[in-house]
Amino acid sequence: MKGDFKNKCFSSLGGNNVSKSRIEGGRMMKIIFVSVLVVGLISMLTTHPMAQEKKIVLLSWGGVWEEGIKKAFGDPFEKETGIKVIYTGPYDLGKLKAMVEAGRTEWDVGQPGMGWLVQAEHANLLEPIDYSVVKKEQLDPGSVHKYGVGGEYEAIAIGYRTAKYGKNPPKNWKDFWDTKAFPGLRCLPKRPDFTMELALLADGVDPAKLYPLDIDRAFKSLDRLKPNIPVWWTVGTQSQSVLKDGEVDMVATYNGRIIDLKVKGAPVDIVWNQALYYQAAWCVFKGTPRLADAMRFIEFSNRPENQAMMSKHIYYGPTNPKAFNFIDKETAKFLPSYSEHFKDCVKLDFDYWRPNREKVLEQMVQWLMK
Amino acid sequence: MQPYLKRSSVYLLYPLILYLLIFFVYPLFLGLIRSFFDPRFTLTHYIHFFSAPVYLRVIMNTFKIATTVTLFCLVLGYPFAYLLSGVSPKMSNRLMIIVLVPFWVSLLVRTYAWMVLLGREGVINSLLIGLGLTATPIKLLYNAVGINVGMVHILLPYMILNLYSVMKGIDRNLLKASENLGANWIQTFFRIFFPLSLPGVGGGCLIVFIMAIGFFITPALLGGTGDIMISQMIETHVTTLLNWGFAFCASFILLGITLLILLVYNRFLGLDKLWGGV
Repeated sequence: MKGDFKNKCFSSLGGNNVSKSRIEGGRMMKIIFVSVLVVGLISMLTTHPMAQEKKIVLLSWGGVWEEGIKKAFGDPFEKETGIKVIYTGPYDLGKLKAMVEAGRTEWDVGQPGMGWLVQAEHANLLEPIDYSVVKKEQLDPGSVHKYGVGGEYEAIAIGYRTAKYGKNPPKNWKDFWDTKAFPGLRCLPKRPDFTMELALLADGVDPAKLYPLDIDRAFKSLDRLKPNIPVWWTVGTQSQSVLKDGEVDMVATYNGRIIDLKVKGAPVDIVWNQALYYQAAWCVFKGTPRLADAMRFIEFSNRPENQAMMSKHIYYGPTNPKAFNFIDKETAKFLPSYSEHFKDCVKLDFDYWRPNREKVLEQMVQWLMK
Repeated sequence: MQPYLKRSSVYLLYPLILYLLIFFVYPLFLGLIRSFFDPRFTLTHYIHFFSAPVYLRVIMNTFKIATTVTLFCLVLGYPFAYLLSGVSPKMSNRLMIIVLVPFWVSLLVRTYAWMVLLGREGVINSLLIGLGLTATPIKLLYNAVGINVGMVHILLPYMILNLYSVMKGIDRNLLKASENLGANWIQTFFRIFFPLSLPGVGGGCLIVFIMAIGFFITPALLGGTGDIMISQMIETHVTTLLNWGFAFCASFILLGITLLILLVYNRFLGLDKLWGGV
C-alpha cells in the first residue's frame, strides 16, 4: 500500500517507476496547466481595467488625516479631473529608497514633514516641483522649495491636563520644565529633533539664536527634567493616550493631536507660545510614471478653498494665507499659522538636523540608558 | 523501523532550498556586501559600531532583557508544561487552548491591551485603589514590569510547546519504576523527570532567547526610558537615517552573536535534541 502511494506521488516528479505512472503524470500535468491558465486569466481580468483608468497614488498618514484629505482634495479632484486618487501607507523612507533603487516607484505624491522631506531630498528620492503647473504666488513664501511646496503647518506644542493646571496654566517651555511651580509628570518625544530645541528653549535660549543647537547644554537641561518623565512617546497616538489616560500631566506633541483630544471633550488644553512649527509639504516621489498628474494634484490641493476645507478636518494650518478667508474664527484658533499665535511660534530648522541627526540620536540613546 | 522513503528522495527538499536561496540567502549576501562597501570597501560601519559607546550598551541591554524574559518564561512555563504532559488527553487538549489563544491575536493589539490594563489610571490600578489596597497608583507600565509582562506573554507559548514536546516523550514507566524502588514524588521528579526534560528546557530557552533579542515594538511601547533594544536602533537606521550600510552591519553583528549562541548550545547540549533526536 505505502509503496504504491509513494510511486503515485513521486513518479511524475522523476521517480524510477515510470511505466505505472504515465497516466497519473499526464493527469497531474493537466491539473497544473489548467490552474496556471485560470490564475492567469483572473489576474488579467483584475489588472486590465485598472491600467486603463487614470489614477494617482497618494502616500497617506491614515486615520483622520486620510479622511480629511479625501474630503478636501481627493474626492473634489476626482470630480474635476476624472483622475482617481488611491491612498496607501505608511510613510517609510526605507521603502521609498528601495523602490527608487529598484526603479519601481509605486507612490506618486505625499505630504511628509520637512524632516522626512529633507532626508528624502538628500538621498535623491524626490522629483523637483514643476512651478509651471503649481502656482507659488499665493503661498506663504516660506513654504515654497525646490522639492516641496505648500501643504500645511504643524507645530509641537504643550498639551496639559486642565484638571491639574486649569487655574494657572503653563505659558512656555520654561514652565514645562519647572516641576516646582507645576508639579507633575511629563512626556517628550523620543527623538532628538523637537526634544533638543525644547530643552534649549526651556533653558532660556533666545528663539532667534536657537541654531546651531548647543547639544551639551540641551542634555544638561534635560537632566533636570528626566526624573519627571516616566515615558517618551514614539508615535503620535501614544502621545495622545498618555495625556488622556493621565499617565502624564503635560506632553510636548503635535498641535493636531492636542486639539483632537480637546474637541472630543477630553480635559486638556494647548499652549501656543513657543510652539515649534514646521511645514508638511507636498512632494512627488522620484521615478513616478504619473508625474504630470501628481503636479496637477498639488496645484489643486494648494488652492485656498481646498486648504481651508482640510483645516476643518484636521487641525493643521494652511500654507496659503488666503485660506483663512474660508475658515471661521473658532477653527482658526486651533491652527498654527493663524496670525494670533503664528508670531509666537518658533521655526524648526531641519537643514540643521539632516547632517547632525545620527550623531545626536546616538548621544540621546546613550543618555536615555544612563 | 524501515525507512519509508529512499535516500534519493532528498529531491523533495529542492523547492524549499531554492526558495531559501533566492529569498533569504541571496538578499542576506547582498546585505553583507553592503555592510562592507559604501560604495568602496570600508570597515567604517564596523569600527563605528564598536567604537561609539552606545551600540555595545544597547547590545548588553538587549541581552539583559532577553535573559530576564527567558527566565520568567521558564519559571512560568515549566509547571504548566508538566501539568499538560501528565493529564488525560482530553484535559490536555483543553489546556492547550490557553497556550494557543495568544497566537491568534495580533502582537500590536496585545501590546496596547497591556497599556490599558497596566496604566496609572488603568484597570489594575483602579481596582487596587478601589479596594483600598493602595492609595497611590503602582507603577506597572514603562518599566521592567511592563516590558517583562508584555514580552513573556508573547513568548511563553514557544517555551511551553518546546517543554511539552519533550516531556510528552518521557517514558512514564521510568517514573513508576522510581516510585516502586521507594523514591518519593520529589525524588522522582528531581532525579528522573527533571534531568530527562532538560533538552526541552534548553530548546525552549534557546528559541525564546533568540526571538527576544529581535523584539522592538513591545519594548518601545511598554518598556522604560532606557529599555532600548538593538533592533530598534537597526530600524531607525533603515527607515529614518537611511544609513543602510550601518543597519546591515548591526544586523550581521546580531546574527553573528545569535549563531555564536547556537554554537555554544550545540557544543554543550546538542542541537539535534532540539528537534527530538536522542
